Amino acid sequence: MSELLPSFLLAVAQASPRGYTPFVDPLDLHDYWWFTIMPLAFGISLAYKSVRLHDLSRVWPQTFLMTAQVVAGMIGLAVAAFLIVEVIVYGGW
Amino acid sequence: MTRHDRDESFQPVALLLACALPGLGHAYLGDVKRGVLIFSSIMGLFLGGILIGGIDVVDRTEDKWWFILQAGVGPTAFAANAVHQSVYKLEFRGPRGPIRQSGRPDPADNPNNQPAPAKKSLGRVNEVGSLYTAMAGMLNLIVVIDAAWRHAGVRRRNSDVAPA
Repeated sequence: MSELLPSFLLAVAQASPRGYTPFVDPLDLHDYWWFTIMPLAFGISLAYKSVRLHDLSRVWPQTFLMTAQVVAGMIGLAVAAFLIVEVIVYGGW
Repeated sequence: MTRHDRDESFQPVALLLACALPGLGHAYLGDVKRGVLIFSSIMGLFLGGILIGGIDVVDRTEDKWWFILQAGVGPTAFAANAVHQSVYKLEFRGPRGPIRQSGRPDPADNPNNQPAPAKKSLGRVNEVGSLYTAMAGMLNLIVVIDAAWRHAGVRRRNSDVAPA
């Protein structure tokens, strides 16, 4: 049995060496990678608030609030980095 | 010292269960809803990272430092790595000696042009997938600590309810 499962998985993998297999091949998100920040922030917020809150009745509003704060913070940092590099260091864009 | 501090006690079984599966320690302590939320969020992040970056983001041999962080998820991370190493890496026996790697190797190592069973994860997609899985591992360390030293009130509350 222990050898049967890897053989089965290897057969599945080799059946589509060029096609896309979910959870095996990477998604083609190279142009939209920034979109993945939002689910990441949501997952981190949900795990954190699930541990932190004493009263779980407020978990969803608190999770969405923290997600918005994290995303807004990252956008703010990006804007600040852009202004520092392009405006302060190089004197305008 | 607050009342909350006094209630804290070490929970070794909850610690072991939280290490085995995210959220299981809290469920053992009687906080099932919290356990389900923790399981959903951490496994969602871990599986989401593998969905985005492919199985290649969990790789103990080629991405050792990322794997140390991912290992916080527990046996799931070790199982993903074992499947990656044993199934999705081919052993190429080229003139420069045997190598095991995912994706298409250097033609010098692959003179027979064997097809690779999984595409190599590269660039931003690999970074994002690695970040998702590493964050899942680090968050589970917080969860394990919280389950191990959680105040025993939840469990006691369930067992101390006097019959009406």
